[in-house]
Amino acid sequence: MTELDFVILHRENLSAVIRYVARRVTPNEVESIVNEVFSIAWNKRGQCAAGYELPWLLRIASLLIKNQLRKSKSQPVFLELNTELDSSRVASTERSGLDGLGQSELSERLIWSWNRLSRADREVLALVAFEELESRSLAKALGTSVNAATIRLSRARKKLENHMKEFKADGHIS
Amino acid sequence: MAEKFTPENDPLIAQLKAHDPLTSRDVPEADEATLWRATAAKPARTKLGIRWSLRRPAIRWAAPLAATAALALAVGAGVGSLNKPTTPLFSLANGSATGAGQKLATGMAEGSTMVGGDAKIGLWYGQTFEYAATEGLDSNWSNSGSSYRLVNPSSPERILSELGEIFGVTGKIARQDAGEGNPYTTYSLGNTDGSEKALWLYWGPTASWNFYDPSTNLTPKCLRESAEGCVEFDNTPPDASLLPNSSKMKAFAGKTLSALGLKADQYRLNENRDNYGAYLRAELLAGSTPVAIETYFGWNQLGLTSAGGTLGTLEKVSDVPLVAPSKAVARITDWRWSGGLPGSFWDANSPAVSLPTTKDIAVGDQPVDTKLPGDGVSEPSATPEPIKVTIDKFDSRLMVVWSAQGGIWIVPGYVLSSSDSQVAGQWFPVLAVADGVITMPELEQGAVTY
Repeated sequence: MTELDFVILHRENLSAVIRYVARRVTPNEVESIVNEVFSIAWNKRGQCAAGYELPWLLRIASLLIKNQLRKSKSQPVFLELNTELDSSRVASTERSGLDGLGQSELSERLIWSWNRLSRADREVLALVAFEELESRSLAKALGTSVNAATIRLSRARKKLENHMKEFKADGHIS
Repeated sequence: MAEKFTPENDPLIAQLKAHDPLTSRDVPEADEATLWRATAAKPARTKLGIRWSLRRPAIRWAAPLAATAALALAVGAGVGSLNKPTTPLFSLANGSATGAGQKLATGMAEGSTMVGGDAKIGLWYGQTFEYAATEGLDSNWSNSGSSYRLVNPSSPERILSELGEIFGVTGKIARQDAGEGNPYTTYSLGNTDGSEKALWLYWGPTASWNFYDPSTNLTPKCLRESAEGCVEFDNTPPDASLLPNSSKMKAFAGKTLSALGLKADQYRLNENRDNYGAYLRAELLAGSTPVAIETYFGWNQLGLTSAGGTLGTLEKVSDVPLVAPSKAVARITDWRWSGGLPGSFWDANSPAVSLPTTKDIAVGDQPVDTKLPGDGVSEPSATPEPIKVTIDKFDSRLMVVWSAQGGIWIVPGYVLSSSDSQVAGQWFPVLAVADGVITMPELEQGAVTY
């Protein structure tokens, strides 16, 4: 990767990296992590596979965030869902086994269930839902094979769905 | 039969999107200063470690990218009097009139400027430095030097076709014209979805190319697997004896440079290797001096993994007047004057500090100490006193800068340094051309330099 390529990589991926990091750490930690992501990327730019720049950067960011979360004394905010609904992005829940529920109950179940997932499960789902990675990029970002990444995604999704079905309004599992 | 979902039609994914954490959080604006910091920090080149280096004014490795992002350049005609710069040969401001050109050249986001980004650096880092020249610094300097520009080769299709033959990439050349999100016309050969080896040629004011072969990815053997994937890899280094030897690497580089319309004898080759790969970097020579215009090749045990570089040949433009080294010291604190040096300079002048690699940062559940020598001992306080640095040495070098239109120029510069123990081992590459030879971008009102 030439220096010019790195400039392009930076320009094309900076916003996505910031958004990725901002979803996972407190606002005052974002800058330093993003700085470090690009510093490491610059030093390791020869290792970046063409066409997979963003997942490569996200992989670096994920490792830095893991370390940050270990060290952090503040309340972790790792992938905490927004309780406010962005109604423009809601789609029908038909065929999901959750149809028939009102949106407010759906949201309540989703957030309750999401908080019961492991960080690893949330991460794989978030990479698809928020970072919108396709399977190859997902695998790169997770540092694993496409098959393994797809299996992880499928299992995490199933866990989330099961939690949502188990939910009762009082917060107890049915 | 259970419904088969894809992320596009999955209602659960849609529900998650509607509750994106980001919508309730403060998100910093994209700031091009991260580019500056990424390239300027260069922790391998300081004894002080990455964390510290990220928090300080890091001109010392400003190098090509800082210049890439910063400079609007006009090389003085310099053909009349060397003591009095004449009208610039061409002048490209980074204001609104030609801003698009600079953004094209630098990849900067629309509506942004490096000045705005860098203005924050002074505030963020807190620590300030004051630089002064020692007496006698100007005892031996030349008041003029040569400037060059990089000239693109011709016929991108021919180049890509010849590269395809050498790299074994077949297919039809695809062309994607410059447009939204794509500052250059890009030519490609092969399957570019990352599944097979492919070639890319970026044809802008400065041309560059890349080759990548995913089939050469070395995947370490998995020793222990869980539902989450592999949790323990075999860390035994690959066998270095399976890497290509030096003469084979150089022969391949020569053949490639020739296909690119370049001459191998106009390059200086630098080779290094470890268990994981053998690397060759070809630095373009201006006369006999290597400059930061590079072509690189990387091999591992499975073959050539990647290659690429900046294309073009150097054309001498003129001799230009220079400022004395003592006057150039003031330029250390103004990022606009930074110039790029070749990797060989840094190879020869870097203290031996290894970088944290991504695999060092954290593996599985085992926390890894990423502290480097110096971490934690030199952290600047919130409102530190300025550190006074006396510059007592200069080295004349040719440096790379980018024009606002995206062209590359090579101009004289000084690598300034100090024997002061606080900054020993750090290098400050600044341009040496006299005021007026290069038209600099204006600092925005209120901008803070450091």
